Amino acid sequence: MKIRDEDNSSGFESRLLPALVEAVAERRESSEPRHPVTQNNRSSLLQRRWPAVAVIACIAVLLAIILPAVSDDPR
Amino acid sequence: MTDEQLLARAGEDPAAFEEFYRRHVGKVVGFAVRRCSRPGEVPDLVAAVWLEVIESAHLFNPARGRAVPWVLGVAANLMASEARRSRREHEAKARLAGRRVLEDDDYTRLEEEIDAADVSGARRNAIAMLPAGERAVVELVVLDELTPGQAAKALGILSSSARMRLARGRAKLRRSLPSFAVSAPVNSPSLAKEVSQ
Repeated sequence: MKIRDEDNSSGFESRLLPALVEAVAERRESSEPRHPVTQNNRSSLLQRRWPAVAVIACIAVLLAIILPAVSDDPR
Repeated sequence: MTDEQLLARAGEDPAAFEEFYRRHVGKVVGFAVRRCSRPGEVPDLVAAVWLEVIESAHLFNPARGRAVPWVLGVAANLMASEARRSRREHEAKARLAGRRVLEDDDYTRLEEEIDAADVSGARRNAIAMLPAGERAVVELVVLDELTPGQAAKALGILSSSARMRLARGRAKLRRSLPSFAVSAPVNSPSLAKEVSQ
């Protein structure tokens, strides 16, 4: 470990440094996102929940067919 | 890389911090030596100042001033807040627990540096009696030899305010310690000049 001021190269300043560098590394780790954003996280609702979307779409189509037929019943 | 570039990254980049530390640890040690009366106190204060720098580095704006006065400002603000200083020193002690920091050589060297700084107990007490705002400016200008403008930037106050606090502080020091200017430390020529002005 070489400190610019030669008097400090083996002094207590050198022995403080590892603990301080650890503090910087910990700070960096804590500021990084815990769950990194991936391509999957950014995928659309359709890609992630396609079965549910398909079911809802089918129900909507059936209702669109059935409801007009019921309301137009001439009785 | 300049000091300012290194400091801006020092909070989250271990390599940048290490380089900045190597360049300027001597100034922080000098700051601590001028404020401590015993060698054993110096490493805790130095570590506390650097921990505060690590936490605050993201706030450093190179457009508003130089890196070293900013670090001394952080140190001065830490000294001005007893609670913050105590918290940081506690953190420093916890981080250094189990490590032997001060060797016999360091002890001797720091003792000599404290003697050479010649900030006697009477002077230390006189400065400590100043109100916190005046004390921070007086210490930075008189002990650390910053210009009043640099001290103002370091403390985040207007230059005119720094000059006013300095003038008030000097007047109080002259009243409480008439011998202050006469026996100014050899390695702090600005002390005699500042106090006698």
